[in-house]
Amino acid sequence: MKSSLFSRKGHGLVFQRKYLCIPYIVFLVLFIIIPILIIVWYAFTDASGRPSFDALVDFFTSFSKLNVLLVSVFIALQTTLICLIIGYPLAFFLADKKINKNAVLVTLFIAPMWINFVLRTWATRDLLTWMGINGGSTPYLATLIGMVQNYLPFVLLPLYTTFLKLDKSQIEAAYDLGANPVQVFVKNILPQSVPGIVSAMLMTFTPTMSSYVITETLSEGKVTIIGSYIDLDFTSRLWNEGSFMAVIMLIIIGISMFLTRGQEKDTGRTNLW
Amino acid sequence: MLNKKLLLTLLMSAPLALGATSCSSKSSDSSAHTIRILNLEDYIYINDPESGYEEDDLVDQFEEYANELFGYDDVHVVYDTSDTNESEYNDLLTGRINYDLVCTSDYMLQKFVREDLVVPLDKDALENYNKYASKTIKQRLDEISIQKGDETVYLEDYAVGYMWGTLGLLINPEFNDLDFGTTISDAQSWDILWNEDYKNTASIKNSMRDTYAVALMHGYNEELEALKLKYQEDEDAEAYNTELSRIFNLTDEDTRKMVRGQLNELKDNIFGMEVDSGKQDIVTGKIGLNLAWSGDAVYSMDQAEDPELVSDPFELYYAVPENGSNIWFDGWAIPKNDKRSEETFELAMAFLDYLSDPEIAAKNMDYTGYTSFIGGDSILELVREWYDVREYLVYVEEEDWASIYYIDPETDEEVEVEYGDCHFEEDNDPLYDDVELYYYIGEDQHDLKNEDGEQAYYNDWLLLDDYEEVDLTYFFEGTTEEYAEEDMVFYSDCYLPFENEDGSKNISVGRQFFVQYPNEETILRCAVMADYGDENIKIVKLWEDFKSNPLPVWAVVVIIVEVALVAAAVTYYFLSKYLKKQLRLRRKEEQK
Repeated sequence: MKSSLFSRKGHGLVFQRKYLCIPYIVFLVLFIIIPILIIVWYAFTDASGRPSFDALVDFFTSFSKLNVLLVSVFIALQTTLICLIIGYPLAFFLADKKINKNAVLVTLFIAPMWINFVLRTWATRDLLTWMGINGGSTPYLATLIGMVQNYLPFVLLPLYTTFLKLDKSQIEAAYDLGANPVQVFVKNILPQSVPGIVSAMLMTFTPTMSSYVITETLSEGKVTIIGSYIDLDFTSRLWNEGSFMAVIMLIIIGISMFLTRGQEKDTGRTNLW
Repeated sequence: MLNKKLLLTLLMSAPLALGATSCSSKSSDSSAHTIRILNLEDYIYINDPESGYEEDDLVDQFEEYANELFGYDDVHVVYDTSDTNESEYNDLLTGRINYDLVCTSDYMLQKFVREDLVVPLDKDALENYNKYASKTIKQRLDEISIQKGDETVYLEDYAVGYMWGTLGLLINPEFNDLDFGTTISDAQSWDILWNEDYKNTASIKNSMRDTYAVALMHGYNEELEALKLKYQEDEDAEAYNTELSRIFNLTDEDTRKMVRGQLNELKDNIFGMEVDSGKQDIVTGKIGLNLAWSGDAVYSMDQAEDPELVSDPFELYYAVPENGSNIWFDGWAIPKNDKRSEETFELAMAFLDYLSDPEIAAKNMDYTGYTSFIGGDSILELVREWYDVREYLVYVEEEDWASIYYIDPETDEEVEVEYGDCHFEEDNDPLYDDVELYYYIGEDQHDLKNEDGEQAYYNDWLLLDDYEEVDLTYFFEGTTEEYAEEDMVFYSDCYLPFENEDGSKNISVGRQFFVQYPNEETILRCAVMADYGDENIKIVKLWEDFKSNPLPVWAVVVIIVEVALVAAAVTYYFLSKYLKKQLRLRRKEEQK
């Protein structure tokens, strides 16, 4: 068989390009697949290791937990939305070679990503205090500022790469056929950039729901998202309840990917992700 | 694609995993003379020349000491740290590394014993600990009883005390427009956290146990008040503390419901909940009140009055509310490990006894800022050096460490003023009445001035009458060799620096000295925290409920508007598609 690693064709081992994937697959199995299976296992067992739906029942009957999920969704939605509103036009102009001649500007905008986000969040806290915004009185505002600051680069990059690949001739054609700028945007640029938007949303929405270091630091503990709950359950040794909430997160990731899968395949785009 | 996304998502949510794995191991060799220690962070003397700690790490010093003691040449200490008691519990239970020693807090020690995770100690090997540990404090730890299966055991067989302290309120009485006197007197009760005058001023611990305890004490304030009054009448200290501890550790349903209500009110009044930032926030002026452990309080006080760190130094105060608070202990225990050799066990015991050597304890105390279990001569001297006015009264303010001299009228010789030369008014010797004090800056002799700028005389300057007497006999009793009981009385200029409105001395608000060594009365008013046991899960649920905040109205409106907009857009999209399709169909029909 060709696929066998040690297939002999007369002269010893034949190196095949796909073998380059082996390190990745080993990593994938060891550090992603197996841990996820362990999480799922814990989610559907009880403290003594017997299969049980206790954690599920607990989650769906607990007002606090559902409420925290709602708060998480709220924070994640707003963050995504604000990031898009800020990031979309920005990415559009950054992709314009006339404005951004050698991509230095993009580097500037994504530079914050290179600083550890915990350190950055503490710095943001001091910055906000200096600006007169404090998490004690306006927890949601402080949290959203921190989230947007943290996730803006994740929105910027996919959109930027999408805009770089924008088919300019289509836009020119639209103008030639008599479309006004609004129509050109709505009927041409926007549909062309949908894959970038979807990718940006995925990069922001789900991680935001679990970035509890940001919420706890900036809201002075007054905004609680699902990440905090998972942490609390694990430190209180309620591994089953914690795992079930992690599964809920996985399901949300799954749903958002399922909803957007068509869009992703649309173009044979190649971006940084 | 899917997997890559998943990978990224997991990386983004790395904080999720962080909580579970926060432990680093230096090496893992396994000779018979290796002991593995798990300690809390920043909780032992470490070489740090920049801050003036020139000696080798204490664990390295122990290696040398143990080599000599047992005649080995290969004693090796593997030293790990953990950030919380809870993660230590996880470390022990998952059993990744078999530790020989673990340092954790009182309630966690109880849990370890209850769940049979630790083994009894060899108390005969603890020579230093038995001799030098403060009797009063040791007793409080020793008498903690634990229900282990069917039998009742006591913590004294399982744990060696390391550091101890209280839970209290750290106050900046000059924060914003607070009134100094009112703030100080309000801080003598937990009610200050619920008081609307202090809205958005305080931060509390984002930690279940401490915040639960505070809410409970506030809720049961009447009962605690009555208990205190009863004690003032009958003076039965033991009964008082027993009953106080019972109330303090209530976890029944009514109490939980009450605490839940208290917490809800508290939430609206405080600035926020912090994990570890409070001790810094009160120094930077973000908050004016902080629920603090005594060790952190000392740290904040030192920072706030250090002109090198703060441009406008100020004083913080620490209160242990009058109707009751928490006294905590951190101690060492030996985790269960059937494969541990006798030699390793002996080494572990030797380490515990090494830590209890007053000289070593003094180093640890100096480095960590927490108060050691150990008394003894070295610690007494350290406390003197830090806090006793007799130690620093005799120094001149302008030239920090210049010494003061006088001419002794009896011998006509120049004598340096030393610790202990202070005396009381009734001891005044008329012979010394006109003896002038002076000091040198270089070769130049200067007259020492008193507070009014006049020449200071021996008999006036060194009077102790104006200073507070701080009796720490309860702590040092029976631990010292060189010093007698009268040496356990210290003199301070700000131990309990305030008077109540009726003129009586307050007993619960003080400065560093008070924070580190509260008086006996304060200790009596503090209860030891018990492990919640089977009620733990209910308290966790209560804490979860407390932490979950319903979305504010505006947020709900925002969500509704957003959903409506999306729905409208989707409807528009599909409707226009449908209409176009209809149009095309009609046109086709017309063409036909």
